[in-house]
Amino acid sequence: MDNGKKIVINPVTRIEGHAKITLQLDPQGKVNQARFHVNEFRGFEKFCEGRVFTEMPTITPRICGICPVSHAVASAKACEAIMKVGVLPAAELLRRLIHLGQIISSHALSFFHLSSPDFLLGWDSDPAQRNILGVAEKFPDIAKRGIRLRKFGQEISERITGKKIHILGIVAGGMSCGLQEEQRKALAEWIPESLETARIGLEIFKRYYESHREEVETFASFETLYMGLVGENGEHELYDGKLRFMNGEGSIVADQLSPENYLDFIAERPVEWSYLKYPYYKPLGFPQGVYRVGPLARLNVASKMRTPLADQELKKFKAIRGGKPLRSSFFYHYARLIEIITAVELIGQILNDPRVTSNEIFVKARRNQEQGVGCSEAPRGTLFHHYWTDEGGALAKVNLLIATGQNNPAMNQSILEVAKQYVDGNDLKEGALNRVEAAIRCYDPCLSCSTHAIGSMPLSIEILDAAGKILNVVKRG
Amino acid sequence: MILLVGYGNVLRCDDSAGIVTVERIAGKRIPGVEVRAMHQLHVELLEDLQRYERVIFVDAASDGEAVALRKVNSGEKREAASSHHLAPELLCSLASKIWSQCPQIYVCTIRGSCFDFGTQLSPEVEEQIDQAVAAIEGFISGVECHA
Repeated sequence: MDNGKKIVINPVTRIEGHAKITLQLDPQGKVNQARFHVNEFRGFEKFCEGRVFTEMPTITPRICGICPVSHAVASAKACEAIMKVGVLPAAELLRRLIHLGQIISSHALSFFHLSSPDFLLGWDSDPAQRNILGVAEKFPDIAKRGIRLRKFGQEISERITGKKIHILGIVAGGMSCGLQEEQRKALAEWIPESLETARIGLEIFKRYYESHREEVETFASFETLYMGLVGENGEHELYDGKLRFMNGEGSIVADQLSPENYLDFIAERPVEWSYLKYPYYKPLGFPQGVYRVGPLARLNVASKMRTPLADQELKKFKAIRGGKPLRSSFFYHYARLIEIITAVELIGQILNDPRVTSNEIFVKARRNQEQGVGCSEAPRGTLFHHYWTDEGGALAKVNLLIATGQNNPAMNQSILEVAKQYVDGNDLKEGALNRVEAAIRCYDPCLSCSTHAIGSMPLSIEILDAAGKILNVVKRG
Repeated sequence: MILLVGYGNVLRCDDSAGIVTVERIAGKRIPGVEVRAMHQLHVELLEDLQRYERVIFVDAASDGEAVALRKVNSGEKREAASSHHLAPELLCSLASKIWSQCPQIYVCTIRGSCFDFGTQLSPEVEEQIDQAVAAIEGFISGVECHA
């Protein structure tokens, strides 16, 4: 280890869950190493052993309060693989509806509540104000729109299943509840406003980008692969599809990979400083096989969007680097907003499909094979549920490959890149540390369903020498 | 129209005091009073609040008076917040900033003694819930509330 100092950011604010960042300085006070520590341990893979596999779509949404639907979808699909059964069209439409609602809700939270304070109030503004409350004071209309957009996403879950989060309606074999005509009409009324709010969000981002081009294009910018689900023609997908890997030059490395074979092309390695592992694309090994998932990756790998307004925006997105994948992590925010637009458009299409109010939403089957893999795109990236069962249908083994975990190597690289650019250990500024936190916020990680602070949580940053002696302390709050 | 909101974690013993309180009041079916029970107060609740003249939040507390009922003002000092849960004071503050009109917001707290994992209420909290129910009923029927 270098004979230098260490900066610790604990906790990281305005993210989902608890994390810590450690920055190691060299003797000149410049950052030469960064670590993103995830200190939570959940244990779902272990304590679900012995449960009947069909219980999992009810249990696994409890992993997260922000993306429970993605877990329910992936889980139900894994169960249906074990049952060797498909779902009826109406059930798939309902699942897609709820899933899209969750995407909107999660992305709206990420952009309007967690990230817009930096764009609208400034990176170096008072941390006690640099949150949704500060946005509400200066930009009440934007705050209101962000709240209502998030609410729209939750309305979909509530009107179909009766609950906003940790829903119970997605089951192995389809759905246990349907959509009534009255509820369908009520949801359709939200579409115009939600599209307008997404458009306003895009304006906020683009205005910031236009006035801070270099900053945006170089923020946590580095080469990785990108992975995401795509349709059979390469279109953007969130609920189903096959996997595509793309490199930093825009070449497709692997395409139309079946998620059920994920172990053939994804491997993980543990690291000593975090409970999150380091996944990578197996054929290229580590670290060449490091890849990113989530909105930026999904839009990088997609050939087109499935809806017109979002597809128009995708063309502008891809034009930024002449058709090559965007590397700067800052563009996660742009990608997230485009996904909100496509989600709203798709919801409108589904609500106009006459099958969506059908009562034919469930099929019965029993265990017909030992293993099953289910895959979906959570707001933060690709999610895998893999179950092994005994002959009685009890779970013998569970493997969950979580979206945020797949971005772990990239998040570590991101904080290192940003810290090198903005942090000077000899002149430590709060705004610089906010930028390091923002590198993580680009990924909108979901470390667990935990609370996190909106800026007013007291934060103490210590600078330590190599012997652990405190040389300086910077406090906030 | 009055909205009565009890919130807390029903799996953390006395933390369910707010929910138990409002459920008992719900059983009395008082006209003009809508009752909701929830795990946490979310920012999305803000818009719903606009439909009511008065909102009473009921929650367990780890310290303070056994039972307290007070009015919240929009200018009150903010406490630490999270995006999963906003305190009533913060909801009041946000509501006044985002919407031009804001209902009168009150908070009723019930001091708990045990917040371990479990579903049972401690004996003293059972008594305090009765006091809280009486206080809220009295308030609703027009008894003066000391801010």
